[in-house]
Amino acid sequence: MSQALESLRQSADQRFSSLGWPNRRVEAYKYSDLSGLKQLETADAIATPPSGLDALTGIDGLSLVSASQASAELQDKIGSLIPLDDAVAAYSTAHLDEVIVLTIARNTKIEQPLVLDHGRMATGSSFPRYLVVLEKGAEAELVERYAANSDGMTCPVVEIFVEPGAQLKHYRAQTEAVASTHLGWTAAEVGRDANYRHIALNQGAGLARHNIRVTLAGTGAHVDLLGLHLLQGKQSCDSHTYINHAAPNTTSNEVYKSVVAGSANSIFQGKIYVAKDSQKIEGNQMSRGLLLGPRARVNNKPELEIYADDVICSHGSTVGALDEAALFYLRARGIPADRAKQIMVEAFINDVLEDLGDASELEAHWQPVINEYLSAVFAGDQAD
Amino acid sequence: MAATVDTVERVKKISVETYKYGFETDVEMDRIPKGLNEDIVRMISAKKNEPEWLLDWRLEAYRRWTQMEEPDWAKVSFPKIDYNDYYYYAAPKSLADKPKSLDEVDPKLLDTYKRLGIPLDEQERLAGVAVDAVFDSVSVATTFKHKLEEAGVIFMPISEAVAKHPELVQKYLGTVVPTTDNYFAALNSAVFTDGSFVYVPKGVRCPMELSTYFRINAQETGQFERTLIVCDDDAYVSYLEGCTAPMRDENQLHAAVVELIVMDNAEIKYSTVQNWYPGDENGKGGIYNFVTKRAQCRGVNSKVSWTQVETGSAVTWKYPSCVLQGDGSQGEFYSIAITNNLQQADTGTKMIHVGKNTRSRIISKGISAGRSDQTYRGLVKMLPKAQGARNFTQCDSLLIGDRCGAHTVPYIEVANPSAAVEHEATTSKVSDDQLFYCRQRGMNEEKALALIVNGFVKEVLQELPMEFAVEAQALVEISLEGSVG
Repeated sequence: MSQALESLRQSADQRFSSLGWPNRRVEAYKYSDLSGLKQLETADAIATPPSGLDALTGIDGLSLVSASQASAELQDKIGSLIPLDDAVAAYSTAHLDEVIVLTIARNTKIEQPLVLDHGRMATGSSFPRYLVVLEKGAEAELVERYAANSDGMTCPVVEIFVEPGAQLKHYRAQTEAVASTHLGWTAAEVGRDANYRHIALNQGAGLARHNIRVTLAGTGAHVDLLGLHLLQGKQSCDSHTYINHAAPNTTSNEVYKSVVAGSANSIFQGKIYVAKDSQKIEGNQMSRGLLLGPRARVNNKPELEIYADDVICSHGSTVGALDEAALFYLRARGIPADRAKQIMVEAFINDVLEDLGDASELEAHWQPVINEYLSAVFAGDQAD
Repeated sequence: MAATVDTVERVKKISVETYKYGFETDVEMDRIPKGLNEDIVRMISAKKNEPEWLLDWRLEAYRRWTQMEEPDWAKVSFPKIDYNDYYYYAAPKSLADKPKSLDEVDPKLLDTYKRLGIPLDEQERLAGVAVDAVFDSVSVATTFKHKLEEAGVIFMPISEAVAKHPELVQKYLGTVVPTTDNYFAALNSAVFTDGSFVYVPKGVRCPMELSTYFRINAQETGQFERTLIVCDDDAYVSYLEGCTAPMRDENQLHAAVVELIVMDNAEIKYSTVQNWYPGDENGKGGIYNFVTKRAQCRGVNSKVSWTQVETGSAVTWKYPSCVLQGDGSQGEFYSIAITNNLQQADTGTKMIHVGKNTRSRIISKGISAGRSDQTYRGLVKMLPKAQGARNFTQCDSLLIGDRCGAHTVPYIEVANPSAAVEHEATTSKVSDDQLFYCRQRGMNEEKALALIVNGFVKEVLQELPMEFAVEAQALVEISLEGSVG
């Protein structure tokens, strides 16, 4: 490991020792108590190289190297987007080992999705770490999959630079076993006239937390953050998003939807921040929770922090059960109750996915997960 | 620091003038030493001839307060307060200190009154001018008292109620906001000096709107008021609080506690127009307004409605809340908050749904101008037993000028699948098109802005009692003075 990375690792280690796992008194973790994680702290880190990396070699315009082989300039970017005052970021960085650096060359469009597939088979903690750089005018599609099937912890960190004029579509699916704990970080900086679209599926893990931090750094930058929580049993899933409109004329659009069955807990905390002098901003956010289980819970905290005046920002948040009138309508047409409910939940979910156009990732990997979730939730549901 | 110095100066001035005019010891006697300790708490209690239980209650609050820490989660910043640098029981100002006629009152202040549309005799009363004004206000109060007694409504200063209706006060005081609720509530419990007590008996519809307006003028209530309103089964009361005139007072700490208790099918409507001195254009001076207001809807189908117009104070920390315990109970919160210059406001509401089929509605309109910062902070919580509960929240912010800030921090916690919560918030600036349209019709920029802003807040203004609404509308205009151009 280079000296710079080693010192980053050490300072994160120190930072985490002083922070510890946050409890509910830490505002950012108000609804996700991580203080119970202490016993896992000493668990051995296990290396889990992503499968499918081989498929990425030999693609024109894509460079895939480990940090030690990357240029000094690229190495400097590692750790620059995630704040170490967040305990999860500090913890992950403290275990920093291998960093994979993906660079998409200037004005190159890569048709093939770049798939980073993580199945952790053994108990322990894994710390996948990536730096993704889309140079000016580049275009790519990034796919992250986390599907650990054993207990333990996955703490991935992905830092992304979308340079001016570049475009990135980013699919992130977390479908780990409920025995697993997932603490993820995604941070992106979006340059002038660049476009970043992040779509997250959170269906797995007993305790999941996903931090997303996007900085719109150049005029004309745009971000879409779309997310789904599909929860059941005693799962707890927390998406914590932060969009920083650091430059004028930037736009953001955020939609998060949660379907919560059993006694699961869905948490969405999303902040839109508009810096001073960032004029002509448009930022819209919507978070919706659908409660299916008798003890299901939704905790939403949409937030606006605005220091410029020429802005149009809004957030909306709703929580509730399925619409009785709509259910009645379907049942009046002879559709059994459980099927009617399922149709409505599908519609609720598809609202997020339908505008994404032709995406093979959704077809091939997400749809089976969604179907499986729906049949699990509605399997035991009798017509009333 | 400025706050402390200023207070010292003013008190000095009072004592010097008292001496100069040779007034007897009245004023001297009504002042207790600066600082806060158990003796001070005992002294306040002794001054009020309070029973033993209340003193114990105060002392308990004080002891807990010394172990608490000042909250720092609100989005406001101000120099650390030295709580030992305040007078916790200030003497009512002697007449000699007051202006003797309107000629002696600051013309700027008079201009403001004129724009508020307050009649002349009322202006005198507001400025605290001379003797008859005080008489005037006392006589008004007496008329009310008589009428209220006929209806069976108890409405009196809380210290009087402690003496006359100890059983009622003891039964309800601190049951909604316990002494240990938060830092400022504990402080208030230890040193509160006045406030109102209202008890509306079963089945009584209070014949008139109650107001602290007159009482404050008659008695110059201290900085730590405590208000307790109990509305028994099937009763109704509308209560107005506040003063619509700018206060001359500077740099005070104001930590009030308001407790509302609503029984079966009863309703309390609580309206506030808060216009404490906000400090000057450079943020010097002004009131620190740290208020705990909470209502408990204990009975079935009970209802509480908070309406507030917040235009004053240098720093505001205030979250009128409703605990909706009774099945079918309702909570409402309508708020207009305007900050200008260097004012900071962190305000909002909490709606805690406990009972079945409880409903709440939140409409909040925030306007930031100048270099001010404003935050809406709210909580909507549906507990597991809140079957069929409903909430609707709308909070809109308007920004005027590019150096102010507007923030929205709602917490939505739902633990019952049959509950429904809807929240929407927007932030934008005054539309240039609308401004242009008004200007084109010959309105000056300030008038045009006031018109647009009044339209923006109309939904809330409608909730205010008539006479308040008119003044509040004018107040909107005054508060935004100097924010354009």
